[in-house]
Amino acid sequence: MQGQEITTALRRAVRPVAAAAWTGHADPLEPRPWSGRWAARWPFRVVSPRAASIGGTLLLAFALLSITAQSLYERLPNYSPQTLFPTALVLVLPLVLRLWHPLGAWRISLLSMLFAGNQHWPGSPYVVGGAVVFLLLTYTVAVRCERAVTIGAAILTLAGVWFTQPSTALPAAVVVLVPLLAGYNTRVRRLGARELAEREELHREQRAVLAERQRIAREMHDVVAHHMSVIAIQAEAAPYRVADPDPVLAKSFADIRANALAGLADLRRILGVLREEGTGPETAPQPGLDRLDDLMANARAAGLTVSSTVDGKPVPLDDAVGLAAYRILQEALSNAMKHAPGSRVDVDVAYRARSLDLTVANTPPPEPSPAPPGGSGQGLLGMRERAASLGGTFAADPTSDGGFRVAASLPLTPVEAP
Amino acid sequence: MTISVLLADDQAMVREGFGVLLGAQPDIDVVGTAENGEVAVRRVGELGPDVVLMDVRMPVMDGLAATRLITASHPGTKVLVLTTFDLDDYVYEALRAGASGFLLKDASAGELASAVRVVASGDALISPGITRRLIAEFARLGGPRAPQRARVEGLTDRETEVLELIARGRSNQEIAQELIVAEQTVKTHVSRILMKLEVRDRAQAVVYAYEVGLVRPGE
Repeated sequence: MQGQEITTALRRAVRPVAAAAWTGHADPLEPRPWSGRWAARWPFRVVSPRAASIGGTLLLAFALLSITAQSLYERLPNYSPQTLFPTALVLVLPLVLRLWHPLGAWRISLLSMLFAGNQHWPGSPYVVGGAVVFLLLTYTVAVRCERAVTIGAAILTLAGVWFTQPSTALPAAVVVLVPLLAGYNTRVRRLGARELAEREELHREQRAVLAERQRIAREMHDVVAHHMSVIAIQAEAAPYRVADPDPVLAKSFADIRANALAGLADLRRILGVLREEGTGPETAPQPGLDRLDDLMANARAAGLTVSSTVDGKPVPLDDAVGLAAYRILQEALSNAMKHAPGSRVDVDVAYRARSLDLTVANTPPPEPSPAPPGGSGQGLLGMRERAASLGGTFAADPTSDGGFRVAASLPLTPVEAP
Repeated sequence: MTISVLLADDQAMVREGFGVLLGAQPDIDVVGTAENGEVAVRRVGELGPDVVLMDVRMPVMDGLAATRLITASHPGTKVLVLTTFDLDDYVYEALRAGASGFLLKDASAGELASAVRVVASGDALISPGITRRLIAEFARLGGPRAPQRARVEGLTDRETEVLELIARGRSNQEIAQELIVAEQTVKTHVSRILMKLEVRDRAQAVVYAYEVGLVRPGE
């Protein structure tokens, strides 16, 4: 029992050390834009934070290199510069490597300090340049690596200072703790901020999904309402079609009409609930696939080269399917206009036995377009929701030639021609 | 004398249904139909109907735009706007476009026929319910614009009083009761008001009353 506990404890201690020494990885670098009120001013506008950190690192490395080399020459006058200068390089260069591989750089720095911080060569105290580089790297590791790696790095460092210079081990350990704690603190703060941002992003996406569903529901209810009003009108008109209507039939039509009116009243309430704030009155009927030509003309006017094919025998579409098809094509073409201005777009509408398949594929834009203004992904979301609302499928993927392709398949239910 | 009617709606079933309902009335004659606003404007030019039943949501040209063109070029033709039920959205826009009244598409045969007769006679089909929506719409738009006092000042006190009651959705009969005068007297006032204000009908007089701030939302 006790042996097992010791094994567990050992394993707990060994794993972080192994991670720091060999198996661990640093988190990928996140681009961090300038923040604060100076961000919009020169020189922040022209120099990226990354470029600034590379430039700053190179300057610092150059300064530390000359200090370190100088100090080695003074301490070890018996050695030739051909030996000492490479030693100084090995001590300082991890600072530059830090920009790409912080953990790897820290490992090299640790090894070089074990070698060049030894009490016998070049002697106590530590070579200042190398120590500064090591402390900076320790901070970076604490910021960029998981906690286990940081703990492993702390264990290795404490073992290192005790091994290299036992006489200064205590103060050295205290000094090393400073970047470890400061780095860890920075990491916790950044992770917290990122989590918050991610949660906000998720929240925003959920809201967008809800808004989109609401819009779809509104349009579909609108379509139903128009059918209902036709039922009400036709039921009212039916008894007037014959000179002497049968009272039984007239009663039946009156019942149909009463139900249609009740349905309309319910729909009116539902639409009131689904009403979107801040939209003007709608003066166009809900569109269907018969207005595909308008859509393509619109896309052509925006500078796209649009071609279309229709496969299979066109059948009259259910209003809901026609509306969803129209909206999906509209959104796909609008995405092409936004993300690939000037590209060639192929629109394919295929009437299959059981589904209506829509494909919109665009080539990459002739000139690389600037980042599209805001809210990308919103359109895809809407298309996906439209297809899903009818039990259809939707896919959107980049093509091998650098373009983009969206494909939707909407199930067809046969409808009688009016 | 029969009232000639043009039906403008993009749904064939609606045109046909209204055709049957109005065709059953001896004094109403459906002279033509149109499937969108553009065709409606053309047919009005050809047929010169007394009343156009105009759907709002139509392809090519919507009902509001068509109403604007028709009332501007054919003062003798009255437009009755049809909606499925989104009255609130269109009432102000439609009145501004020159419509004389509103009708829900699910109106009964009797309501439909009487609406056509009311509008054809030059009266506005603006019920108290619609007037309330109108008031709400004005409130939403931030109340009346700068009053054009000059034209209101042309009205006598009694005429101003009658205009206020019109704007509140009162019928001639109700106004007569309220002011304790004969209905014929009210009719005389109304026609003098329309003439002095240079507006085409009651509906436009209502719009005018709100726009000059004679009647304020919420009063």
